Amino acid sequence: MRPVRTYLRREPSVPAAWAVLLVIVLIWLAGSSVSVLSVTIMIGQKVPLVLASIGAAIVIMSRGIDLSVGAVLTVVNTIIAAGTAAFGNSLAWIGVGLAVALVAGLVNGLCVAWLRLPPLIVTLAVQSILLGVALYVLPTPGGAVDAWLKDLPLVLVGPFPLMLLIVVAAPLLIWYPLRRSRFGTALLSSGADESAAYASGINVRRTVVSSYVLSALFAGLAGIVMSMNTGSGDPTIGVPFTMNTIAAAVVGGVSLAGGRGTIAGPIAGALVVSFIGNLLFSMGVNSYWQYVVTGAVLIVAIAIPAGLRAIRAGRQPS
Amino acid sequence: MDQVGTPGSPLIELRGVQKHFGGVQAVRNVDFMVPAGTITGLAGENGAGKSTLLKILAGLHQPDAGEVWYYGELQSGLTPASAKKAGIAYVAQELSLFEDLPVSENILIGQEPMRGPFVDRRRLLAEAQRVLDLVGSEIDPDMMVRDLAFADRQLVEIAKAMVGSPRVLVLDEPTSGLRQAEVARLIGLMKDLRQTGCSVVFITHRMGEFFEACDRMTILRDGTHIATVGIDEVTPGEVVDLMIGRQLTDAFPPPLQMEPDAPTGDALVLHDFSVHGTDVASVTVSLQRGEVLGIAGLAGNGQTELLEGLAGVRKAGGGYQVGSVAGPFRSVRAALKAGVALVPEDRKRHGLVLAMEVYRNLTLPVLRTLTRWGLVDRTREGGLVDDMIRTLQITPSDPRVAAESMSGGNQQKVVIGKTLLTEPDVYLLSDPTRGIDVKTKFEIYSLIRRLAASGKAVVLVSTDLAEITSLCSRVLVMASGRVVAELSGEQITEREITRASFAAVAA
Repeated sequence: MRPVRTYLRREPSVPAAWAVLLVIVLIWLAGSSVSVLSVTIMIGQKVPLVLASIGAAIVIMSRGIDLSVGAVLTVVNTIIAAGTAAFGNSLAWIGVGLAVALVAGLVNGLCVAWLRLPPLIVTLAVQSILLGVALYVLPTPGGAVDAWLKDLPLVLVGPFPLMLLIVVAAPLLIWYPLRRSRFGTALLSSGADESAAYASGINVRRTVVSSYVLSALFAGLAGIVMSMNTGSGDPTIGVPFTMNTIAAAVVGGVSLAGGRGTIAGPIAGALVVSFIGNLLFSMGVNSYWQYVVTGAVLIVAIAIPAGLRAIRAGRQPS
Repeated sequence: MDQVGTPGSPLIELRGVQKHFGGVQAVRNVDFMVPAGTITGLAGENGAGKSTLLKILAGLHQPDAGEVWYYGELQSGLTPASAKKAGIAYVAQELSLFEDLPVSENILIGQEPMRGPFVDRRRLLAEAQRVLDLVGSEIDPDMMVRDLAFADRQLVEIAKAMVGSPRVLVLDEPTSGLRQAEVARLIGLMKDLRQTGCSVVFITHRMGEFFEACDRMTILRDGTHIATVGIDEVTPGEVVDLMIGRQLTDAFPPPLQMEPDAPTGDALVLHDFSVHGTDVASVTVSLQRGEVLGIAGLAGNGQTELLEGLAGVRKAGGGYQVGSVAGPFRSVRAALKAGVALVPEDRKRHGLVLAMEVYRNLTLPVLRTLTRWGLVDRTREGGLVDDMIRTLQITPSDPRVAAESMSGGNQQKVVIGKTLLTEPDVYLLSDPTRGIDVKTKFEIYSLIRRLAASGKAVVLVSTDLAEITSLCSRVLVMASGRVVAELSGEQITEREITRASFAAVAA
């Protein structure tokens, strides 16, 4: 029991985000008819945001910010769709897309860590470049993906839809090893206090570069899943993603000041951010009210852990 | 030269190292040696270059000139990581722990035990526990550093340095936050290390600890190596003399006659005054108009916190009377209204909006009185600003220059000008001449004299003892947040102040 309690005490935002998510999902389930198929499709729609938010959260933990997340996702999506439409073989184009994503992440990281340029502007510029590339590759929505790729999300692995497994597996296979390797500590310490991390023998520059490359990797994976979901490409599809990934990270307890955060948190945060829309839609709420309520729920979601932390800090002798 | 590792041969040697920061020469051509199996104390006044020297030794600063030798080998391009790898463990004066990581990960950061590609959690915890036991700490290694008290954090820092069995342990004021039993334990640990042929270099506030722990002492003054002596060859009094040396006194303007119409009487009365969240407590003193009261003591013993408590920056308690107004004040604004103004220590952070022009900086606190119908009266503002620039001889004299493009001395004049415009009765000056040139210093001293002569009261906190002894009519010496001595008249000498500061071994 003790590790669990320790964990809850350390990161009040994470359970808070999952609790908010639970409430939203329960209300939503109560109000609509669901089947295995509809739930699977539903989850499939959430996966891109979940993956992209993990990447965004990693950068935020290093005290950076990544505004190119949505554009990386878009570029990967358009390369797969346009490439497959022209030459076939989606698998090869997935490789090309990921390579482009990693180069973009590397450029972000090198500019921030070595040239010491402000991350906000660097990633905004890279976003702009990538959106231009996406429009060049695929000027209008369309393109195609191989049939196997389109069918992949609904493939059952045992009793579980593959999509569900991706949600669980991606963080486990990519993040958990990182947190348990030296990188996790290096990331949080570099974000908390760069000079203290340096004084402790951490390679701060390499850590920061890695965080941007990882962010691009996750955004690229999100772009692949997006291509599966839609079976086509769209050069504008990723733009609204960027701000939602940052919202998801913060709702999930990642500190914008760096040095603090988990991965379970942003996953819950991403699901909260996107499930609010489902809930309101199924309740028949007007689309303009949807925006208003979404904003209000976001504020509540970040106010709860902030309040918990303040209460806890008040009790603690310092 | 002797063989590496034999007793007496140098583990570390610095030859002719120099380091400057901006215009300040922190370390001048210093030779420093650490023989194997010794405990060396590094003594000197504030700003003597002790910490800078240790940082060069541990790879945190690159020297401008000079050589660093480890075990008889010349080092180049030294970094904290390579120093650590070479067995030089360094504990900084300012804590460098990560609040949102657990104690265990903090201790082994950058040198985690691995199993394949992953950190071996079990060995990580075991090693953390081992070094915590070494320093006698009973902290749970799973706790977040955020939840630890200051003394415990200090112990975690020392435990962190003990990982990997260092050959030289370098400690910059490790005992300042520790309780007495922990200090004794730490000194025991240092002596154990010496037994195994390792060496320790350390700085402390407390003279007693030098004589309890050290084999030898090195004394620095103004960045220069003054002496290295065996501990049996000196007395505490001689060490103090070596630390302060001879000082010039003609750098200060003489006191002025009180102006005939200057107001007199109590300006500020404190009774059992304390500052929340700090160890400042039981301060009782009354300050006359026309008086300059010095607050001395080693840096970090509550002087700044006391001023911040008086100025409404920090919450305070106890009796506090300014003229007819009763404190403590809940905000800086309330304190200003009562006539108490602080010239803060860190002018870049608290004193100025650097990107803003000089005139805007000057009139920021009095903007309300210059405003009519919501608009600033620019004519009146211009008049005030021009007067102030002339009075303080601020250069450049163009009020539209951005504060960030001025020299440090002139920035400091702008900060003081800001305070003058609010016309307080009590001036709280926190290290007002730090990092500024001699000429500007003299001008600021003259201003302090003029303020006193016109019936204002001045409280001066300074790390420069010459400043305190030359300008103040009374001096409080603080240690661990308490006033440990009150000196006046003939008693105000650097020797007396230094003796009082160092005599205050925590009871």
